[in-house]
Amino acid sequence: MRSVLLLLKIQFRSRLNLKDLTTVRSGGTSGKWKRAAVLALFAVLAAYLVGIYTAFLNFLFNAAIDFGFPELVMHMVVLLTMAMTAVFGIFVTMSGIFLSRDTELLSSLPIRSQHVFLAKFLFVYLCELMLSAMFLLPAIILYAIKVEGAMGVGLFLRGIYITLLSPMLPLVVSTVLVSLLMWVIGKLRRRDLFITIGTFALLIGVTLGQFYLQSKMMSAPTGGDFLAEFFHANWTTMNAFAKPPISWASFAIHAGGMNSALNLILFTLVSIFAYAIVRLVCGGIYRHAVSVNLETAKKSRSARRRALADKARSPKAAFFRKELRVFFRTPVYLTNGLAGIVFPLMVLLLPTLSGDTAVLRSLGGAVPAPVMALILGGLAILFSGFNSGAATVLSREGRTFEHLRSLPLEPRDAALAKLLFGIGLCPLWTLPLCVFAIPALGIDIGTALLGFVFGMVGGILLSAICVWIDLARPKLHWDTETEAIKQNFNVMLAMLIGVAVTACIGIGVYLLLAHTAIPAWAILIATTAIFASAALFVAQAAIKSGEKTFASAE
Amino acid sequence: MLKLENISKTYAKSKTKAVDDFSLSVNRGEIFGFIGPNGAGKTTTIKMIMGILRPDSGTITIDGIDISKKPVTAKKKIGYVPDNQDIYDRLTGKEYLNFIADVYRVDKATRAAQMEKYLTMFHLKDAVDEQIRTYSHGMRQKLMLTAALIPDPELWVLDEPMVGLDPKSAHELKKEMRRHCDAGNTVFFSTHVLEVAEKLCDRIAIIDNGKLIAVGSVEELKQSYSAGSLGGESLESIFLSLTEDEEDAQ
Repeated sequence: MRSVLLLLKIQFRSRLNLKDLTTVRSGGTSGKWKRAAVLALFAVLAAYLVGIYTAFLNFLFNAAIDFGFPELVMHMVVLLTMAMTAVFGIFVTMSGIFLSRDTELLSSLPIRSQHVFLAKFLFVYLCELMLSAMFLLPAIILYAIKVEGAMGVGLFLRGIYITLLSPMLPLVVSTVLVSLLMWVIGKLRRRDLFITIGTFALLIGVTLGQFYLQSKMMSAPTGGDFLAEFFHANWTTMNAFAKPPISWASFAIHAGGMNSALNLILFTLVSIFAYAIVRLVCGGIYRHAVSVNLETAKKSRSARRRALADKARSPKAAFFRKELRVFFRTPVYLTNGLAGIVFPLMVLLLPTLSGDTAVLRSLGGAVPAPVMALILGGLAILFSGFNSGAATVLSREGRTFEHLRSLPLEPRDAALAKLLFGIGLCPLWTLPLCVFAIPALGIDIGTALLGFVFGMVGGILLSAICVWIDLARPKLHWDTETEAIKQNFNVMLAMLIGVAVTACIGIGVYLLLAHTAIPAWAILIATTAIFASAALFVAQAAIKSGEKTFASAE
Repeated sequence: MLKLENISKTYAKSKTKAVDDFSLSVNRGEIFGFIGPNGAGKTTTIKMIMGILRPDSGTITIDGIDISKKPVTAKKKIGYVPDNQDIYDRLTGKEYLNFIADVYRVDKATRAAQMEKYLTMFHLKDAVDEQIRTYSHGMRQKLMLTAALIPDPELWVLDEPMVGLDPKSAHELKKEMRRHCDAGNTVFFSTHVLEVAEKLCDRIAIIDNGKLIAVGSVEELKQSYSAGSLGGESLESIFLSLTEDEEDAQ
C-alpha cells in the first residue's frame, strides 16, 4: 500500500505541478504569479461553465416539478454524470494508465505491476471525481432547494457519499474497454491509426449530438414545451435507463429513509464488485498492454526496396515537405489541427439533423450570390482562426529547433516554409465547406466558388496571423506533443484574434449592407482586396519575425 | 580551418561563465580532440561553433568565414552531430537523410553513393524505411552520423560521437575520421573516452570550468605535464591531475 501511495503522490506532483505554485524555484516570483493567474483563469472558466449548467438544471427542475416527477431529473443527472465519466474516462484511462510516459521507468522498478496499475487508476479516479462533482453537486443542492421537504443534512451526506463513489462504475467500463482496445491494438499494431480515427469519430459524434439537442430545443415553442415533448417522447427510454445501478444511486440520494439506505448499500456493493473486477482483470491486462506499448511499431509492409536517394529539392521545398510529413503523421497534431474541418461542416449539417433542410435551401435561394459568398467565406475565415497547425508551426519543433539552427538553412527560407505550411492548411476546410454548401444551401457552383475565393483570402490572412504569433514567440519547451499543440497560449491568442477579426468584419459588412446603398458585389470585392493586402503585409511581418527567431533564439 | 578567438559565454540568469575567454585554432588535416569534465563547457563551445549559441564576445571562423556574419555559408562547410538525439521521430531514416541532403544541396548521385556507403558501414540499410521513433539509441546515433557525413563537409564537428555505437561501428567511424583528415579535411570532436582521444587525435584541448587549461599533441602534453607534481604517463593521469588542480585552485 505504501508504494501505491508513493506512486499516487508522484503522479499528482508530475502531472498537475501543484507544488510549483508554492515554490519560487522554477520561473521565480513572476513565474509563480503567472501560474497562479492561469489557475485563477481556469477557476473562473470552471465557475462559468458550472453556472451555465446550474441554470440549465434549474430550468429542468422547474419543468419536472410541473410535470410531477422531479426525481426524474436526478435520474437524468446521474445517468449523464456516469455517461460523461465513462466517455472522458476512456481518454483519461488511455493516456493516464496505458500510454503514460513513465511506464518504462516504473516497469523497471521493484514495484508490482498491480500496484502501479492501482496507483494510476486511483489518480484517474480522483481526476474523474472532480468531473462527477461538477455534475452531481449542483443537482443535489438544487433538488434540496426546489423540492419541498427534501432539504436536510441526510440528503447532503448521502449526496456527497454517492458523488465520491460515482466514478467507479463508469471508470470500470472505460478501463475494461480500453484494456480490450489495447489488446486489439497490440495484435494489429496500428495504434496511431486507432487514435486518429477514434478522436475524429468522437468529435463528430459529440458535435452532432450537441447540435441535435440544440435543434430540438430550438424547434419547440418554449423550453417547457420541449421538455414536456421530450419526456413524453422518451418516457420509455428514460424509464429503461432508470434501472439499477443508476436508479440505486439516484434513489440513495433523494428517496429518504430506509429506501435510501437500501439503495445506498446496493450501490456501494456494486461499486466494490466493479472495483474487484478492475483489480483482477484489468491489472493483468495492464501488464500485457504495457509491454505491447513499449515494443516497436510494426515494420513496413512494403517488401519492395525503393531507391535510397530521392531527387534533389531546394532547402525550402525539403523543409516544407518535412513539415507536412511530421504534421500528418502525428495523431495529436492531425486531430487538433484539422478540427476546423469538422465544425463548419457540422454547422451545415445541423438543419439536416433537425429535418429543416427546406429552410436552409430557401435561405440559399433568397440571399443574393455575393451575400451568400460573404457568409460562406466568413464561416471559413472564422474557423481559420482555429488553425492550431499554423498557431504552433514553430512551437511544434520543440527540441529539434536547436538541430534546425545547426543546418545551413537560410532563416528566411525556414520562416517562409513555415508560413506556407500554415496557410496551406486553409483549403482543407474551406473547400469541403463550399462544396457541401452547394446541396445543403441550394446554391450554384459560381456562388460556392466566390465563397471559396473570399474564404481562402481571408483564411490566408488569419492563418498568417496565427503563424506570425508563433514565429515571434514560440513555445519550444514541452514534454509531450499534446502539450505542444493543446497547452499552448499562442493557439488561444490566435483563436481570440480570429474571432475578433471575423466579428469586426461581419459587423462592418452587415452595417454596410443594411444601412448603405453600396452594392453587395462592391462590398465583396473591396473586402477581398483588403484581406489580400492585409495578408501580404502580415506574411511579410511573419517572415521577418521568423528570420529573427531562427537567427537569434537561444 | 577552425579558429576560436577570445570567446566567452555566460548563460542568462547565471553568474558563472560557461566559457571564459577561450582561444583555439584547429588546422586542416587534424583530428582534434576536445575533452573535459561534465559541465566544463564542451557542448557550449561546440554550440557556439555551430552558431546555435552566440558568444558574448570573441569571434569564431570556419575556413576564414565568421559564423556570426555568414552563418549559412559557414555551416555548409560543417557536418555536425550533437550530443542529444532530438530529430524528427515521425520521418523515416531515408526521409531524414534526404531532408538533410536537400538542405546541404547534395545532388542525387552524390547522396545515393554517400547513403549507400555509410548505411552499409553502420548496418542501417534494413531500418532506413522505418520511422525514426522505432530506432534504438545506437541506431539514432548512426543515422545522425550518416546524415552529417552525406554532404562530405570539410569540417566534422562531433559531440561525443561514440556514445551508443557498437564496437564495430565505432571502429569504422574512427577509420573514417582518419581517412577524412588524411584527405586534407578536419575533425573536431569531444569525447569522454580518453583512450580513443589518445590513440586517434593529432592534438587535444582540455577544458575545465570554461577555461582552456591545456592544448597540444599527446606527446607535447606528456612532456609539458609529466614532470613535477603533475606527473603521469597516460593522458588519463594528465587529465585527472590538471582538472584536480583546477578544482584546488578554485
